[in-house]
Amino acid sequence: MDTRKTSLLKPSEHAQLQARKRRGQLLRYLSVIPVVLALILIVFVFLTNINNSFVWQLVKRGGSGQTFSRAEAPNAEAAFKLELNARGLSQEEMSKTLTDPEERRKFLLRNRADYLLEANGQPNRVVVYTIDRGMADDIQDQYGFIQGLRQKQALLERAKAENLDLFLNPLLDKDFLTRNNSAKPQMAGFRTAIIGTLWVISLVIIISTFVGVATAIYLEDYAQKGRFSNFLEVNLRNLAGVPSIVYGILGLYVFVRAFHMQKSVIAAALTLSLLILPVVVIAAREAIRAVPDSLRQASYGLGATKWQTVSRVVLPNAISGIVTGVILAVARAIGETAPLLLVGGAGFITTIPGGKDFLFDSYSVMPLQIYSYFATPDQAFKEIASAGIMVLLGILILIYLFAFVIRARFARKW
Amino acid sequence: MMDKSMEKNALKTNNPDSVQSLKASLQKRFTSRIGENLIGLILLACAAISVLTTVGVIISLGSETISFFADPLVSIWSFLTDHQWTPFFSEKHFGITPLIVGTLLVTVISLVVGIPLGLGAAIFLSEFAGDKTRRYIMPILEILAGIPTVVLGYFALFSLTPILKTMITGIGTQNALAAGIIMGFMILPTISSISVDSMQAVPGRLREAAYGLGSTKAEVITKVVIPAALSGIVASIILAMSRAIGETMVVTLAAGARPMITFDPRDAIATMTAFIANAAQSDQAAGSVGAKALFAVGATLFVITLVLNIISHQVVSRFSEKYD
Repeated sequence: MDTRKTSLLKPSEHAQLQARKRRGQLLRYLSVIPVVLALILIVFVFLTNINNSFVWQLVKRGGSGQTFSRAEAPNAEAAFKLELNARGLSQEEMSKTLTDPEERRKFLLRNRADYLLEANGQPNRVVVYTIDRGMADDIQDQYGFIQGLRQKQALLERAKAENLDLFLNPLLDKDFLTRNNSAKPQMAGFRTAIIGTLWVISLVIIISTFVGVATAIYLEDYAQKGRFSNFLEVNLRNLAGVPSIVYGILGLYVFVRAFHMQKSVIAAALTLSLLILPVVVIAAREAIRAVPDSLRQASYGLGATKWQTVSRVVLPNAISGIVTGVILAVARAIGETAPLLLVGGAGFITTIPGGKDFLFDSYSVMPLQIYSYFATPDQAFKEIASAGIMVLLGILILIYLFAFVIRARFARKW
Repeated sequence: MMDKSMEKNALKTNNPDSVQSLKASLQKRFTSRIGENLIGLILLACAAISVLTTVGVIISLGSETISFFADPLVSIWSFLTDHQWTPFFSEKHFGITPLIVGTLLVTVISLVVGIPLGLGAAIFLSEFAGDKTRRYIMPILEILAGIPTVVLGYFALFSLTPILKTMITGIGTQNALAAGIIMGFMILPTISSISVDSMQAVPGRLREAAYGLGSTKAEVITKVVIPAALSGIVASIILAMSRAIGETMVVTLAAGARPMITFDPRDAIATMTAFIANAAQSDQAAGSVGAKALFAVGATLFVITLVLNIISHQVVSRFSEKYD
């Protein structure tokens, strides 16, 4: 028997029901689209930057540097030796330059070994690129990894025809992390920015954790519920919504100018600390609130004072939530650029903060450095910025993973 | 003598040791109470820093803005009505309209992109996804919010704009559209996370009543859950709008620095935030009108976002339906 006949519905009503169900399915599929699009965007951002971090460069070499064959110089170390030898250094001077850490660092600041796919009409050569010999290399063209791979043959032929050097330059390599920044794209490194970020963020962690957790404790366990604590709450909520660049203006006016800190590490750290303070307080309050009152009362019942209860019962039990909150807030501070354009702004810096007065040194941090790479007229810096972006994203991913591990492993349910 | 005094003590109390210990413990109590009060004061001082921050924002924006308007070149009237914003040119105009229009244009584009995306994601996460899926998808959306804006800005400029150029004629290298689209994705997590919360807060009996009347799942969502969660959804959209208005790097990089009154998304424009970012990097003397203009624009931005945040909160607290 046809099911439709057993149904109480008329055929028209049945069709209507089917249409309604179909519409229901449609909503389901439609609602997946945003999630898929968001995923595609994230993947695309990563892939683009990875692609740009490994570039094929066509270089017109300045100066008359010599190249070595792969057989002569199988690695960078061998190439350096050959190059130093060719410069007429004695065996002793050579080994000193390459083994003494300080000498080696100085040497690596000015020299790098590049493996060329095509040079002077010969394939597979190694060259030692040196800055101070006036070899102003001129990057004629550069292509992202995939684009270059697709037209590798054409690139090889062009290099041969125009007598250019062709090489696959892994911008994102060990040297990139250990070299200071430089005006020459071939020698630009990210160390200045990484160490600058380390200084600034260490201070931000100390300041924002102390002040943020103290504020949270005050609001949860000390403040009497009343007008003042209400006012504090409303104030924090509104601060959380203030655009980050307004914090930059605050930092410029108060720290840089009124407190005469100039554009220094400490001014940046204080500005970023205030910026993430509301986020830290909100996260810490949630963690503290999650500790059940029965624990507090048990502690008071044993004769503990308020601070004893807070420091030995509440905080230890809320610590995983607090740490997760601080980590996520700090991750935001690491990526923040806008406020630092006002309180730092020094885009091009080749030294790292150090010495006794490091707090008042000028600095650069990773996002600012990336911004300044792009702002440089030299197009070659665009790809170096991508390498910088990969470092920044890599560090942020590690931090997020760390936060999730802490949340998963140490979170307590009451 | 010694014996006598000891006798006296012994007469007063039976056990001199316990007196000593009681005294000591009272002493300890007293000092610890001082310590307790001190700690309370330190905590209060830390809590006061957030108030000082607000005071600092108001003073720094307010004082420079006042001295900006005190300048003979500027008047509040021309600030509001002049159609040109050229603080760094020799012929200076200080009409904020182009910056407001630019901000509005990018914000509207980002909302056109962000609201459907955010709501769709919220519907998926709250109504269709299982617990496990949700646990994996939520952090991924948080990553989207966690990508530094300078990264997304360059993505808009160097990756999205070239794609848009192949599709739309007459689009500039810097344009409002690419910035707006990327910002739409940036506000997606804001809209979706708050909307998910308010959709999950809709009690199960409302849904079940709707199912009992023969509704399909889609009908329950569109006709029961969303209307019941509307206050949260509206609040999330207002909050997202405030985020979009205050966002700096994406618009500075991808939308440009050309203060223009235009509603064409293909044009380069300048937002308030982009002006502040660019002015901060230009070599303006600290006391000049141009440098003060930065603070005046900052004050305008601050007031607009503050009002939106307050409205967003009012919407939640006044219009949210309470179910017990």
